[in-house]
Amino acid sequence: MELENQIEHELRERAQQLLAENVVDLIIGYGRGTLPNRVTPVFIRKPQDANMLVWNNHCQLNLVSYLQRMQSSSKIGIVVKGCDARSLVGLIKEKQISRDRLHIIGIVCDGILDTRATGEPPIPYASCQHCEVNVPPLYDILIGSPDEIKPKKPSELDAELAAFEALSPAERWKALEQEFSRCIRCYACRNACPLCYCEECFVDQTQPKWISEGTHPSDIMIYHLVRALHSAGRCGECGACERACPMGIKLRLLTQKVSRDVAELFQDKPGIDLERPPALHTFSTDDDNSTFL
Amino acid sequence: MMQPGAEFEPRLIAFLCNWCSYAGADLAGISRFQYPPNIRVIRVPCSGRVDPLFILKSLQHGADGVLVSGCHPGDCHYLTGNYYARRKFIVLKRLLDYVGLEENRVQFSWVSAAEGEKFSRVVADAVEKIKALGPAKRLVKTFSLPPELIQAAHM
Repeated sequence: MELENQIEHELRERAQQLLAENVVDLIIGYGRGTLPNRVTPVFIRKPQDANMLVWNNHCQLNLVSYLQRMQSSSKIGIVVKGCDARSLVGLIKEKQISRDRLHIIGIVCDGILDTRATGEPPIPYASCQHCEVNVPPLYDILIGSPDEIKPKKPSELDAELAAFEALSPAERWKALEQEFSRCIRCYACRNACPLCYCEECFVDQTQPKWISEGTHPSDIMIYHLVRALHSAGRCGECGACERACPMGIKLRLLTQKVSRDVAELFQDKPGIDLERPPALHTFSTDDDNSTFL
Repeated sequence: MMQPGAEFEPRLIAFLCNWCSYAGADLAGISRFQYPPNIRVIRVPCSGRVDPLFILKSLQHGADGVLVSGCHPGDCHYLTGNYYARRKFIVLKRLLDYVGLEENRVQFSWVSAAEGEKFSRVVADAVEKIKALGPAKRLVKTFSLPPELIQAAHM
């Protein structure tokens, strides 16, 4: 049996068991989509429906985003990949969801295929090619074996980012302006992000009105800069924002930079350690002071 | 509008914390230390109160530069506010440099209530750096008005 099918088979079995034994009231997982190579979130409450669950290399959604909408006190089982689990750890640390309410079904993930990339054979997303959390950092049950994972290049910068960094500051501004000029301000990136949970986002506030509606380049740029800064020290680098973008904007140009800076400055990798506070929620008296006159 | 031939006089927004830098500015005034009149002061309770959004919005709406100043690390009136600010601003600063908003457009400093002289130096230095950069262009929100309207405004 192929590895993916093995995982899917075990996933269904365990899910059925969890529901039948009332360990959880609900399982959030992936189900077959209406188009080929597409999956859709499914919410399963009955043991006999566990067969709706699927697992394959198109399971790109970060299901953690759906937890925010689960207001009831039910116990939830959730299917997570490594990157999804990082955002889940973030939410638990920020007290957005209680660990006790969760039964985390971690899956060892070998990378998700980029649905937008053309050409054969299909290639994984850039974030997956450089993944270092194939095994979720937090889980109650783990499905799959880490030994089956193809080697990744976690420490390397992906080619697009490296090319961007090589530009001069003026060229970078120009390149970004061009990249972000396609933004239609639909906020899909914000909505897809499991860590963007403010009841009212700063872009929606009217008192004060921080930035205007519309697609003026400066408003677009401020939105994206502030979004990147709000994720500083929290972003689990799942890439959900970039995948959600209907215009295919390379959002990781900004988010990855912030993540790398946080790693370099504060030696922190968000979403790995449940005990460690997010980097910007804490401080050290020895922090770098060179920015200040 | 700049007259041709006139030297560029930048406008800087200075976010000063109430307990140190604002008092430092006051002391600079009392002590008659000279500094360029290019800053517009906004008093904030703590440097930790300054949201990166304030800085970006200042630049968007016509500030040529932004200066943020608070108590020295360890001297915060609220004990730790400026430590959090320090982490926040270093990430901001690096991001702004990375996206190509010119270096020195946004500057940070620590000025205590006893450092009137340092305050005047910090402001003079900041203004000089912004003058060297020229007027802010990158994040500024510009509107293209029809030429007849612009002409009417100048009549």
